[in-house]
Amino acid sequence: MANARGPLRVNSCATARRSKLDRRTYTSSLAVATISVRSERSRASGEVEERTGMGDMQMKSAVGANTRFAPLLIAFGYGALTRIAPTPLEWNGQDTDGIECQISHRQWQEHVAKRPEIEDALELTKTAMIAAESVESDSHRPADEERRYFRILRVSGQSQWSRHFLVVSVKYVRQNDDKWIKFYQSCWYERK
Amino acid sequence: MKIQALGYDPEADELDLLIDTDAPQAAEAVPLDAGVYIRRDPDSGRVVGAFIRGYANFLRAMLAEQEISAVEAVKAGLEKEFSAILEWQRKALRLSRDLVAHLGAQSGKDRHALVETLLTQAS
Repeated sequence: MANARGPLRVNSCATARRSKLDRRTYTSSLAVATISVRSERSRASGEVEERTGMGDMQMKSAVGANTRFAPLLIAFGYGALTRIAPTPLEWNGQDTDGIECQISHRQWQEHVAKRPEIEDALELTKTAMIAAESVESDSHRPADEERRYFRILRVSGQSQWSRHFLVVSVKYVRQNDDKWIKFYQSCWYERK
Repeated sequence: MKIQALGYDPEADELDLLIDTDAPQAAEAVPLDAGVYIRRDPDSGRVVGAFIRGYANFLRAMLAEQEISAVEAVKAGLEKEFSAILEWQRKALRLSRDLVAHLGAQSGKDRHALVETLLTQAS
């Protein structure tokens, strides 16, 4: 995993060149409008989300590469509408209800780079995904849908984080074969 | 207060920020308002960053110039940091608007060149 700041910037222009420049992006100059358009398009495709959990916003390549300018780039719509190919998994397993759980390798590594405290929290994250101490709705993500919903999971931290909860956000996505998969989204420590 | 965007994760819809540091530090997260979480050293309490959950909604609210509650930020004694993040986002949006207005009058090729030049110089 490249450092979240340095090497990634090298790719920014090359990535931007590959991006499709949508005229609506310029005329509206509304980041959210751009995001919505892209979100609908990517969701319409369905395939990516079902397979990888990466279907909400397909701006990873450009925005991720230009990490320090994310808000600016989002406002520009500087994100290619390219599909994100399925990425290797950091881990997959089953929770206590038999639901498959997945953590994307790339996503995990990127989060560790941005939040060093979770570097040693992979096992605890798995624990949260398998058998959380508490489960609640995620008020910062979209409302529940028939085939997709978001939840916040908590487990008690360990060692120097024993006074904290490890909080893990996850997305459940129902597949074409009606099987549900629980995708890791993000995690952080919160004081108990 | 020095704030820098560290990275946006479109899958999680989260934007990470660095505050008064040039590299990510281990931190606990304190949930405030509007999806903003302050990251601070669990021992010293020094603020080292933040992340914004539901960044699309946050941007939508900022673009609409909606009033954003700071109730939790005040409770946590992090009102100054919360306000600084809102102001940082406003500045970024103003810059975006200026650039978009400027680019709108140029050809596609020039737009590409300008954006890439800005990105390179700003890096």
